[in-house]
Amino acid sequence: MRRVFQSLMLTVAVLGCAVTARPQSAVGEVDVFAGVDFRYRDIYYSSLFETLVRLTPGARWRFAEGWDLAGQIYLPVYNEYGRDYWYPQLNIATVSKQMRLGRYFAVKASAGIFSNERYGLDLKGLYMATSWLALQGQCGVTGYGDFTLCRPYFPRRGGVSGQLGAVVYIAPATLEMRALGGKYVGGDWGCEAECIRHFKHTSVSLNGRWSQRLGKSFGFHVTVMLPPYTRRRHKVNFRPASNFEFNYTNRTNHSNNIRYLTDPEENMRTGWFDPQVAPWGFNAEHSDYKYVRSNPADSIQP
Amino acid sequence: MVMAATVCTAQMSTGVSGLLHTPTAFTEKAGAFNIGGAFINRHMLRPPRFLCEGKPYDTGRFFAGLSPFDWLEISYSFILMKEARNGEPASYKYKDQMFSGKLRLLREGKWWPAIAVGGNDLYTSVDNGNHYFANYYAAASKHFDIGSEQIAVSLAYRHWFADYNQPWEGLVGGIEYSPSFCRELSAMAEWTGSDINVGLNYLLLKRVQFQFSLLQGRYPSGGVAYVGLLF
Repeated sequence: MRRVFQSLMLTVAVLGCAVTARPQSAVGEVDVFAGVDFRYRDIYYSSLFETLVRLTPGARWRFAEGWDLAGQIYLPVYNEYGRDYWYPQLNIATVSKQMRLGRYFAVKASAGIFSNERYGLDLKGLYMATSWLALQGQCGVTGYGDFTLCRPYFPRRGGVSGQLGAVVYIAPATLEMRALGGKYVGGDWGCEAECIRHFKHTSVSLNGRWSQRLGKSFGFHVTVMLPPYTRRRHKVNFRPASNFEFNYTNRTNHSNNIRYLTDPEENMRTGWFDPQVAPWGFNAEHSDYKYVRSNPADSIQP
Repeated sequence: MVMAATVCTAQMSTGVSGLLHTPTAFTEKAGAFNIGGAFINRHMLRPPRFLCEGKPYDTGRFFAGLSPFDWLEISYSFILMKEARNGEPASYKYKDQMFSGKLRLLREGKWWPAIAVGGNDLYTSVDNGNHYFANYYAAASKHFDIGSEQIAVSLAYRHWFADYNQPWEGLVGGIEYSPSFCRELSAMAEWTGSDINVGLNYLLLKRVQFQFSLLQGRYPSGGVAYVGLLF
């Protein structure tokens, strides 16, 4: 048992991936979508891997310009993580507003239930200093809410967390480098750096992080935007998830460098903001999807 | 500029491109990726590691690799380990993970070879990690056209960390031949520092790579991988 505990805390590898989506919505449109959250972990000597597969149905309503109401739940399909993971989980339920402040600044404020069992208020900002340099930050006041009967190893403390950093985008190489640091949800101070290469419909990153609680760790992250790449838009849109994310971290103690998502459609490739609000970096020069609307004047071409 | 026509595909023991078990300086196109698995013959694994109850065993390796740029390859792989622990019967429930990387320093030209440096299993996430396959190398590789036929020759100096891998230390290399009538096929022969291995690569529909090899000319090994391009 002690070895199992040590394995759990010192641990070896945690891997996970999820299918989420981020379409480009117009005011009044509703998106109903579903993907798959696939995780596997390697923390016990007695098994090669343990896997967890959950459906991720969600919905998003853009009820005013920049305003979104979004929600997502996890429905377990296959579970080797333990009995507690058979229960449905409320992952996200938020109201968000994103907007441009002046020429260079974009902000997004969110309230509600965030991922990783958090609830509270969150504020994100992006300062587009030049075509290749931006500063970004996130700050939140959150608490721990037990929104499911499953017992993930998320930090249960509440309080203020936030990170501040810089992003460099090298357009000719479609290469993005991010570095940020600050206080994380678990109360630990730390920093992280990520180097992302954007391909046609895929982004791949190598990342490393440091936490005062765990020390160094690193991993990789893959985001694949899934076909079809031309989508017809209606008032209510039922669609599959549009991207698949895969994460690998070589070490974790389940409370180091923990952040949360405020939007079920948030992913490494498209970031926090709609491209109209923050037309910067890869987001500004590339769109994976072509949206065809009944009114051709509203169609958005990549 | 010399164009590489020989099949440049995943090495089944690492996930980065190479010959059967020795490195080359060739790298894949930017955006190329592979994911696959291989049968690893027991004669590829050096004692005293990879012994179960005192006996060597065959095993498997699974890998995924990517070329974020045409001058850089990275891969993740793990090999299954057969062990008996906690009084349980021996099983393949255990594994050893490994990262590999290759950095091309010089692109192949008409008169000069490609030059690259790389390494395997150099990082461990635990204190006093095992580094079973830890090594680094410098390699040079060059294509030659002979009529419509093409061969590629590679030479590398490789340094291993573990004593039990010392037979593979030093100069290694090999030759790869891809016939003009079937560019999807390539035949390879290599010197590992102690043995001569031979093998075949076949790329089906430009997406599925099959590899079959005879270690030391006698012991079969092989694998299959899906290869694709992200651009």
